[in-house]
Amino acid sequence: MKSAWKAVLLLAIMAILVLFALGLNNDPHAIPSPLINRAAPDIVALDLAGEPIRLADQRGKWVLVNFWGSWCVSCVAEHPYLIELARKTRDRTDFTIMGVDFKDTEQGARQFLARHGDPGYRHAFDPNQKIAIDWGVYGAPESYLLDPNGRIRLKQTGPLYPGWFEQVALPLIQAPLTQTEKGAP
Amino acid sequence: MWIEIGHIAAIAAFWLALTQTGTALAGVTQARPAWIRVSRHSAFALLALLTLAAGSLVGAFLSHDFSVRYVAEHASLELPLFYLATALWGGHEGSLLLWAWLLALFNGITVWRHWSTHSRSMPWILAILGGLLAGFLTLILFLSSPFERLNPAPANGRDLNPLLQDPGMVFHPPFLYMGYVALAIPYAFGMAALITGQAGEEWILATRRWTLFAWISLTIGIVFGGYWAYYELGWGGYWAWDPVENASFMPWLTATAFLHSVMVQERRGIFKTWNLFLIITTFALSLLGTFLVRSGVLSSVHAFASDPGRGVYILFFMGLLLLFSFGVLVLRSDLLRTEIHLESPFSKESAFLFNNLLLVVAAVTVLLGTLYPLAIETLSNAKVSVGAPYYNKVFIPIMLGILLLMGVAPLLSWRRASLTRLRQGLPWLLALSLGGVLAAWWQQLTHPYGLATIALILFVTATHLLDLIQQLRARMATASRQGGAPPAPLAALWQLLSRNKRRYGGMTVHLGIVVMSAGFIGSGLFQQEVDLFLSPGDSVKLGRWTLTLESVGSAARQNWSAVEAVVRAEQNGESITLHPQKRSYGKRSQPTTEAAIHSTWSEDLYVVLGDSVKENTWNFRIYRNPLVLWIWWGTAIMAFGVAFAMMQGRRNA
Amino acid sequence: MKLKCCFLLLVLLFGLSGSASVLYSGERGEDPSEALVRKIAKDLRCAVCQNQSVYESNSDLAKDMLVVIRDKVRAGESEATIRDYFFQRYGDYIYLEPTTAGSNKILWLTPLVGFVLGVLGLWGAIAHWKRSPVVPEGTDAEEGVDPAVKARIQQALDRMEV
Repeated sequence: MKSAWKAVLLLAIMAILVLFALGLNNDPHAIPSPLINRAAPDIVALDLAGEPIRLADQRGKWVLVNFWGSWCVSCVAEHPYLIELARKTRDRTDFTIMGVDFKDTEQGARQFLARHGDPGYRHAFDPNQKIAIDWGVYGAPESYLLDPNGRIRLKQTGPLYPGWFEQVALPLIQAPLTQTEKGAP
Repeated sequence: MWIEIGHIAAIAAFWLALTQTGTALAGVTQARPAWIRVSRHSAFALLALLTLAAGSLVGAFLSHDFSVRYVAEHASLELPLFYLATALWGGHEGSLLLWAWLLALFNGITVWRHWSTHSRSMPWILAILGGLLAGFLTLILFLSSPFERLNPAPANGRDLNPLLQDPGMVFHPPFLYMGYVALAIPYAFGMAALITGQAGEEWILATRRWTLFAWISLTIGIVFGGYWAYYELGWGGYWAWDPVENASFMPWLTATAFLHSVMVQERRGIFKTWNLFLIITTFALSLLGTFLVRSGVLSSVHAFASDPGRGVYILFFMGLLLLFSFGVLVLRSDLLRTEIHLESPFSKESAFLFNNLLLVVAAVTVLLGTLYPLAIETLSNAKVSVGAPYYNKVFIPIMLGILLLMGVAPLLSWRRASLTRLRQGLPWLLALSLGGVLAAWWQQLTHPYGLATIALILFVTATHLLDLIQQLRARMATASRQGGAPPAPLAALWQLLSRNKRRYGGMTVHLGIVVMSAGFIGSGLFQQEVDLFLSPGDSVKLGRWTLTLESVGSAARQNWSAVEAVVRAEQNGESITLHPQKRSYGKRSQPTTEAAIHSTWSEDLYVVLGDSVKENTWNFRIYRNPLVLWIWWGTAIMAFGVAFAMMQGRRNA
Repeated sequence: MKLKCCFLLLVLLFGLSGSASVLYSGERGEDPSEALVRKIAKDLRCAVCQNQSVYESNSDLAKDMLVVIRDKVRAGESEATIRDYFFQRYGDYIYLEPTTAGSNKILWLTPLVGFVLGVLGLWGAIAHWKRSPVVPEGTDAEEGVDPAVKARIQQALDRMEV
């Protein structure tokens, strides 16, 4: 064997081993969303009470869009924080929350809210997960933070956690808008 | 009680594995044969202890001992006896134990069979196999113990995953593991040869049967996996290019390359380093498969329960083994320098070289496709998928190339092929292939890969038969020239075959692959399917079949209940009844689809019952899968060919 | 024209349920648009069930994605538009067949380049090995035998086994 081949062989093996070592930290189930920093798809639907609800009506505010379902176990864990967050931000004029209850039944959703508490904001009802697919949702809960221009700024896959608003959302909300962000539709 | 004994036996086996390695190394470095004999006895004791360990777990299954966590997680009181007895490999921990037991078994057989014939390499073989065993037993004992108890013990277990309650899944893992583990034997012989500097042909001759056995086990294991997917998963296909499937396919490809290139070394004494590289790579790929499957780095339909601790350990173990094996190869390869001389590019030697090139490119392609998403995610945090459409596009041309070489091979002889022989047959062969292509074209087949495969299938079959006829004629001519009466053709055929078992065994395997390829093309390119909603009384046409939904009722067995449809299928007065089901296994909520399959030589009728969308209306997917049976029978022909080839004793022995 | 009427009727009949299939009494056929639905769905990856296509998966998400595809096909959207719709939402992950953009070229070119280089390398090596000096193999007893005869014998031997 020529020494060049020896080097290539050993380097290739080291590369594969290093790749595996780094790869152990990957989450094979996570899918990064390409919608970040792009305009969010609009939501036009009925809410759980059968009234029309539209995302575009919230333009001008930061909106937290939370996808959940009564069938989802992690949503139960997340729920107390959503109630707290809704209570804490009730007086803010620049921030609001909208739920999307997907792959669910109206009855199941109402029972869930009755049992675990109603955070007070409205939920779009999405029984065939058309809205969820439109937003690239693949699990629950998933949450998107939209800026006042209706652009998705970040996505939280999995439950929101206590302190999320202060640590993640507020820095974005308080940061001055950059030129490109102002100009976008 | 028994499970504790089994656990202690496994712990003792772990120490014995270390002893096997340690005493072998001590014996060889200090020239103390007594130490090596200790190593030999460790190998036998180890087998007995691991048999006890595995037996205790099987016993716990058979006696429904749900205080054993592994039993509680993979069995229930309702599980039928057949699955109860084989639930040992229904999960990660038990699969590993089966793996270790097989390694101990082959380790024992190797020591027993080759002790006196390979005394120089034996210490190194013992040391390497003992090290492998210790590595696997570490994983079993410390990171995936099947011997844990539950307290309090549940009254009933969680049952075996319903998807695994299928004969295909019962046979798939043991064959696959037999293949992987048997590869460890030629690997250990090769390493020993490299270390002792005796890397001539001896290790290859000694492990010829091991290699063949490993290869056919791997083949059967992979095909059983496809068989399981076809009958149990209900999506009408058998191979999805899933990372877990790829993990078993990569070592198969390099093992196939190895199987061919060792013949060149046996015959001509060349390509020594290459063969060592191939066997090390093959064994490393089988470990890499284990890492991919069990560490959780890749996502797959077959996802095993995994935890990071295991991943780190398997990576460490694999890294150690890779660096050791390839390190030794790099350090010692200069000893293997041989003057290579080829008489002609038209020879078996160079055909085998190109065969190796194609198989290695194929293996690299699968490796790349499997690791690329991992690399992209690790390096740039993006996600890509490399799925079936990619492999179908890239892989089929490579496979066509291999088929072409397979067809050419019998026309070539060693050293220098006589071109006259080629010229005699070639026009006929080309005409035959062309005729096949035209016939297929006339039958509306326009897919270029399909046409190429048909041409090559005919070509390979024809060259193989032509070769047999020519050899038979030559033999009969020689016999009559020597004065005797010409032998009866059948007797001459038997003589020819039995004196060249290896050659004709190999050619039988080739024909098996041809039969399989026909199955791949038939089911891959001519599959027809409909997806629609039916109410009782409705009928639908597919191919020549008319299918009528007669009724939808229910069915139940020991541990499942099902919605069952009764579908009547008719063609040309032939009438059959099919019963596709949607089963729910009480303990696990996920329902499974049981496709109803009517298999004939020409096609499978494959009916899948879907969801009910409204009262009395069900979704159905109905497939016509041509030639699927050929895939299973092709494998059987291959197994037969390998068995025949294995009957041949050693040349020059 | 007729197809459009049919489609409108279906929308009226099934509303949002989306599980639209043509229902006649007696013999049924598959909706003609189903072939395109199948083609698209087989090349898109189901986002929750690993490495299965939307068409082949049994998961809820895959079934609903299939409905979205079906609705879009019946609304007259092209294959490219529908594929792009999913790409915009799930990224490269959704295509079972990776694109040829950017670093994905490595994936597509490696087999080809590997094969071509391999063939060239082998060809060169074989030519080199052919030139290298012949190691004398003949023993004394064979000396004086016509080399042509020797070659014939060797060839016959070589052909006999394996």
